[in-house]
Amino acid sequence: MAVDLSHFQESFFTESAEHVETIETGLLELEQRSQDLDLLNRIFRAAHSIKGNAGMFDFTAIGGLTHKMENVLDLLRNEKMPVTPQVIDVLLRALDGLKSLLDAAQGSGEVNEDVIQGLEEELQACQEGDNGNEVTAKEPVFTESVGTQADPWRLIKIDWVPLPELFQRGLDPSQIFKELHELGMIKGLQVRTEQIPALEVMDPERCYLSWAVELETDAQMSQVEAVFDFVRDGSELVITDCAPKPTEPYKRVGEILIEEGAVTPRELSDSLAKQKPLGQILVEEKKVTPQQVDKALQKQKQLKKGEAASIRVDTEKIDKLINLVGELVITQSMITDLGEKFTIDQLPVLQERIVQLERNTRELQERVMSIRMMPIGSAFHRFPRLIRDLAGKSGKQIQLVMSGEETELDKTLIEAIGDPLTHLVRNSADHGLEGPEERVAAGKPERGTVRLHAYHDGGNICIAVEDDGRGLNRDKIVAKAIERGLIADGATMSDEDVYQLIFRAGFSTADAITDVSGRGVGMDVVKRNIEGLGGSVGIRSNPGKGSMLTLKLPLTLAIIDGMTVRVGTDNYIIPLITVTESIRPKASDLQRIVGKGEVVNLRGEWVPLVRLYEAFNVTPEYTDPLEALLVIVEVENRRIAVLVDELTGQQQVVIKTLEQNYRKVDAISGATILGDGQVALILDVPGLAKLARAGHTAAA
Amino acid sequence: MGKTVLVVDDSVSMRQMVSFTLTGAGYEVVEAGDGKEAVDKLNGGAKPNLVITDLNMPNMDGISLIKAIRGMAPYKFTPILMLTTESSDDKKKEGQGAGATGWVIKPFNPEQMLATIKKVMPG
Repeated sequence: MAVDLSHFQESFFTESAEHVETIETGLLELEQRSQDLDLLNRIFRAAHSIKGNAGMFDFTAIGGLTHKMENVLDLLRNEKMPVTPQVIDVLLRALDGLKSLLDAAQGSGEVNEDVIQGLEEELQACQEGDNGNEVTAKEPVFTESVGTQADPWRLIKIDWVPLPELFQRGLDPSQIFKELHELGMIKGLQVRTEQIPALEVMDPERCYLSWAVELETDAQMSQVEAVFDFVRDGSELVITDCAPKPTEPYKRVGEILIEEGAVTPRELSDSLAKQKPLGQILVEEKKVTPQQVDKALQKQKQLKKGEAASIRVDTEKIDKLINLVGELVITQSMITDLGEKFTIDQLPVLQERIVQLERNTRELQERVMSIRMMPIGSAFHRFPRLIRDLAGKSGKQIQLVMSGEETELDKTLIEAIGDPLTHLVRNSADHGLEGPEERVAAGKPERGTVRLHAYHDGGNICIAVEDDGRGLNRDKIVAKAIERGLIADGATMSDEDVYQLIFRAGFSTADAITDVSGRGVGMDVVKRNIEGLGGSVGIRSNPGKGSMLTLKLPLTLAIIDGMTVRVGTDNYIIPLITVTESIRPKASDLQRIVGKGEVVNLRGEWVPLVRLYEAFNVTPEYTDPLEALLVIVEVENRRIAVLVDELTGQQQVVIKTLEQNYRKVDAISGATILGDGQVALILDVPGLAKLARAGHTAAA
Repeated sequence: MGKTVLVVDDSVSMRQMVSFTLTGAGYEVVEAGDGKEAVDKLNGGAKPNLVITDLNMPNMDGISLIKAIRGMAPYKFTPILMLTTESSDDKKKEGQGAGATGWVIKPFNPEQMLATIKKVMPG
């Protein structure tokens, strides 16, 4: 029977990712608590599971590397080797290798096999260095043991005295004979009964019999021996035939070189690490441009994203859902029942049942949404490692304090905030915190603190990245902004406005990009990404004391709070988070400025005006702003006034994408179905702002 | 009637794979995520003809589970297979000492596992 195991690969990857995380956080904790045996066991078990499962799914390379890690971990937990920073370092790097192997197995990224080999050799050396050659013998785990080639027909004699406790191990001698029979012909079978004691002293649960078997077979000796695999221990067993042939162990070039003392494992892995990614080589050889490589990488990322993703859900959550669906069905049948013989005096009953239906539906909605919710901790897990690496590189002492990891957030959001959050944490550690001397001079503890804190705030979730470093330097920011032409010289601005400047495109400067935090992502990208998710970025800073950046995000992407507005006969939804107010302007507030289009005066600030009916080419009820209504929306710190006929209400709407069903439309982010069955388009406010700017140039 | 197998492993993918293979071969499968859950299932009326258990598990590991099963009268003689990555004799001896019938060494392919089951479970 051939069984396709690929269905289970996805579970394997999910599981492995969890185990990798356990190992990583475990190793980092281990640095602080090197004597913690429970912790070591936990790490060991995670590595052990990956190894075992990898073998099952034929990921030999993953299994091989994890096996080497496991060996080292085994020595550590058996206290045959001390926990040193060096060992942890090797293990962490091996873990990185493992991650790349796992990624590659899922079809993203490429693996440099030699780097992996180098890591394996380092682990091997690590293990031998402290423990001689004792453990290394039990190496080849990934061998297929049963051969199929037949030997010539011959007689094999077997003499077997089983252990008396045979039955207590769930073994059955008749099974042995059945198996032998399958291998060939049992020519002779002699049962010896002389050991059976007198009935009154006999223990019926013990085996007193023994056997002598003559088997004629063409099976290999190993196959015959395998029949007795489970009974050999404690038994007396003699099988007479030729001896099995020894096999030659296989070795890699690197292993041989190390054994001969030609190179050290470290040298080898250093050399291997010099090998470059394909993209870099191609760029250096001028075969492709860096842009082409970037594009290809982006495409690869997209492809990866397109893959089916899975989510693990507690059975408890599922049970509750099923329960709720049950209630929903009951309510529905009650209403159907009522409908069949409805008279008007039953109206209160109907209303009551509709209320019940509403409650069921709402609860069901909440529960279903909660399935997508995951603790944000999974986005935090990478940071201890990141901070450790940053501290190592910069010579700073940094402690990371995390709280609120259990706060739940939509899975898509958790994945999406990973990169922006990483950028903020890097920034805090890299730019925010001072070196030890500077800190001591400022009267602060030597060790700087980066704090990550997640919490609920109404229907939003906030993630704060806080450091106790030098804070933002107002003068420097202003000077840089003037230099870059972002603001005019001599402009008076509040602190908040000054700090917001760091989010402007083009602010990130060359000297801010170090090896540590420069990844081509500026703060402007962070802000744009977060706003793209319907969130916002806040900033607070206290010179000399530190700064705090706060990401504010909606709980989910699938449902938003919307303001419904009407233009003519069409309905539109404006995301509530962007709406600041709605006004009916006075004639004196309206202006048409050359090069800037239509603007409205909002308490002294001139805000561009967008006529929705013009943007979407529909017939409105009012074209005169004095009769119509202006909804003021804010995005990316810019305000625009949107001209609509009227506000019709506020409600939660479920976003349905237009792209999947139709195509991308400018300034529209999706559609939804309203309570009365009508379709409403959801406005993409940043897109609308862009439209407003484009409109001005056209008007000018 | 199909034979029932209790599969005990903390790894979901392993359980899925083993269950899938066994179900495909006509066995009924009961799953448990660790030793404790397995004991609960046994006390709760699951009557397996065979137990397959992983050794490294949280809460209650495989060896303790095997000992516990052997201490339960109805399962005194039930075949128990342990899943292990250790090809070393130590682990096998430890398991057998606890009362394990046999073992399946990871990695195994489904055919190997089914062959081992046939080996210990009277048909």
